[in-house]
Amino acid sequence: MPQPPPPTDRGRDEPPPFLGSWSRVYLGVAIYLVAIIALLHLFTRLLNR
Amino acid sequence: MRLIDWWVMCGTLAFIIFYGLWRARGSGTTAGYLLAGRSMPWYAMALSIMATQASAITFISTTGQSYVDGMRFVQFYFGLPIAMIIISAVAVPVFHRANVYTAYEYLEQRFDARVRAVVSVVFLIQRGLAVGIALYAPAAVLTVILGWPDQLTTLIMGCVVVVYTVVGGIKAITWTDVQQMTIVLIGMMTALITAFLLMPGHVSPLDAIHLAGAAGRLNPVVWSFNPNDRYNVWSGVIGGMFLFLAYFGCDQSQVQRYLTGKSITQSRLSLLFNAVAKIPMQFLILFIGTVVFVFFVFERPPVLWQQAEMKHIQTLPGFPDVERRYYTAFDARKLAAEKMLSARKQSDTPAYEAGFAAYRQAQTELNAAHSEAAKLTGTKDFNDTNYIFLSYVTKYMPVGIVGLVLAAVFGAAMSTSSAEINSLATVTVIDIYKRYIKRDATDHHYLRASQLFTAFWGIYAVATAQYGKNLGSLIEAVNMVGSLFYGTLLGVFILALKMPSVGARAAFYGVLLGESAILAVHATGKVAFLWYNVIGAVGVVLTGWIISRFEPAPRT
Repeated sequence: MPQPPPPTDRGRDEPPPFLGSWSRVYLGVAIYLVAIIALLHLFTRLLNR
Repeated sequence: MRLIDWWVMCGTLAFIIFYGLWRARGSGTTAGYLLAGRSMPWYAMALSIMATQASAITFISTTGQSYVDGMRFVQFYFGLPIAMIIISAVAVPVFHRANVYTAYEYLEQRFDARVRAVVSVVFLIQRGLAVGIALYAPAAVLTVILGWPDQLTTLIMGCVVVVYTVVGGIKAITWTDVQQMTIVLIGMMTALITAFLLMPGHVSPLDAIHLAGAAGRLNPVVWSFNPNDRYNVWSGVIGGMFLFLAYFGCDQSQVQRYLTGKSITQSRLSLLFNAVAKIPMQFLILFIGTVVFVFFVFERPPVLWQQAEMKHIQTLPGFPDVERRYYTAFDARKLAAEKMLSARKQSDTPAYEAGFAAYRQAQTELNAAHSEAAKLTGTKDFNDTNYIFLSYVTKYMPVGIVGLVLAAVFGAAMSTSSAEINSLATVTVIDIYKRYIKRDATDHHYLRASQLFTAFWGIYAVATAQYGKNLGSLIEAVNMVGSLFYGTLLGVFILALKMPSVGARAAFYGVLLGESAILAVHATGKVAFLWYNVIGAVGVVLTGWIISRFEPAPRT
């Protein structure tokens, strides 16, 4: 039976290319989400009647 | 449509497909055909994930939705970044290390063949129901706009999809998705800029934004909680998170996109790109709808957007009265808008407030007249919002841009359908055919089987789409069916990934009891379907965990 090709670094949990660790990247995305909800809240408050 | 639009549309689509097929060279093994030999870079997977999720009806329907209801639909996506973080952290490394073709293959490694089989069958039923609709829904709208028979539109779109999906496999799908998503983004940006440029000369972009806000259309955030209301911050963050966890973490049509990644890092980056880009993209699409709304404050919109129904009601005795009411309200709204803009420029607050009150009143009357016209059609719950954007594009947009935007809509439809057909074929071959029918064949045999099952699901999609007219009222039902199963899928994957003490028997009965819980809640009809994902997942996890407490400890 064919098996999917295992690339050499498949199992390795490499660090991300920015911010040093995956935890920091995830935290960055979470902060981004909070910021975007805050921005959209401001957008609603300022522009919608 | 003028000749140049046809050239732009057909030329763009032809380029996308030939480019995809050219990039798919060398997919001569099962792994190459179904997983692109795990060679894809993050940006290709990221755009493929985005293209698969954003169907044509998303673009057509979302712009129409913001035209009539404002931008609050964007909250539906607030749970997506959280879901992407969880999937990146938990599921991606497990799927990569398990060396699997499908997410359900992993369930046999973790539990047993029975759990894998039941979940695979659930996926095939759910996606099988949806795949025809994915082709038919945009075709139904394009049919009305282009004036083609709907069977012809689905047949052309379906045949093109089947050819490049069967010939090129997932590599062709991914690279065509990249091009299709690029065209979609270019098309949408062009539509937005053109919409601003088409406004009357005295209406600046800031004026347009102001009028949209005055009509209550700039409302992307609603904090009030109501379990029956689909679109508020809470249903978006909580209900949306569970829905997207299930969709991106357990639905093979998405999992297969990031299983093609070169490494865990590449797959994670593709998901996190979507975590960051999806909300702004949806905001952009919704914003286009609000700008189109303002355009029609100054330009007379039709009483109904669906032209076939419009022609039908024009023959009815009640129509002239409704039409008079509609255009009286339109004229009053236009006049009030002009007064508001003028008062705003002169900083005349009382005149502005008077204009604002008249503007809102006229909008209410316009909506009421539209509802009356909808009643004349005799169709229960008549809704023509899906026709607004394309009617606007084909009637008002400049030559060339029409072809580009329609290419974007066709592209979006094809990218979703191709991914669904490809994933249905993969689950059929890997989880059913190879597991239960022919276990020890050669790689070449499974490659041929994959191509044949891709063709089968493609033909099935085109065939079911031919009966799309009869399925029309089922579009909502298909969405509902998805939500009826997604919670269960998510629940079993939570048990698999995060609860090592739960065994196969507990997981199997957890699935059955959790699914029963969703069906029981559905029977009450009192909860919005977005919450079914939460109820299903919690139901499976709780029942699985409780059953596991009564099981003897595994022998070591």
